Amino acid sequence: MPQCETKYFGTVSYTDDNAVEFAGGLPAFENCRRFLTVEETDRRPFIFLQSLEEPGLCFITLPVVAIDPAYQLKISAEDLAAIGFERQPAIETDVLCLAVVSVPAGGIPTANLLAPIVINCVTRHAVQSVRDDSLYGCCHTLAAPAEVTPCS
Amino acid sequence: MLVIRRRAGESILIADDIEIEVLETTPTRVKLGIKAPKAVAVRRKEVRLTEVQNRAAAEEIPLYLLTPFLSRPHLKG
Repeated sequence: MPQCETKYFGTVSYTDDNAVEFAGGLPAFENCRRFLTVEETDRRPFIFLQSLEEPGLCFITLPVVAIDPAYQLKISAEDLAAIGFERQPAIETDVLCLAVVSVPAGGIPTANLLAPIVINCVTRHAVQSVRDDSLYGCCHTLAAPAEVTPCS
Repeated sequence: MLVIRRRAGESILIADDIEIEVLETTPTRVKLGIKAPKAVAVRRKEVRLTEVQNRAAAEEIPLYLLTPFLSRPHLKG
């Protein structure tokens, strides 16, 4: 099983099922094409997108539906072609749709809902698709999940 | 900010070698054609915002900052 140096979790073993390929890289990281989705049970719902080429590069992401269950995808024809779809795919069924998290000076994390990372669940081809409308912002402040009373 | 009114088919020039032509207008959208030297990066502002955001996201993020946003234990129906 191949292994990968990661930014946050030391060395991890992975299978190709967890590898993701961005043919065009990501904005500002055009040369970084191969990543790994790393999900840690005690870090849910966060998904870590670790570069397979640069151990020091790892994006922390959240599924868009964890932020906004009603999130509407709108992917340009060019981006759709890059991940092998002709029509808007369904989130969770056809594609994994992740928002990149960053932490501004104030210390409260924000997520980029303007440019979700869209991963074809079958081929694992991916694109960070920058929307051309203004429905969602690039700096959506995260809200803590509502307390769910566990059944005892 | 300089404000110029233009109709479809009309252009503006920036310096000697950049031309922006209004190709089509609708009530909600404007289609622009841009001619610029290869060395001039032309991209939507949203792409630039995402570049800035991605660079910030690539910094070391202390994982404890994520704690308030972790899933609470719950049973699935």
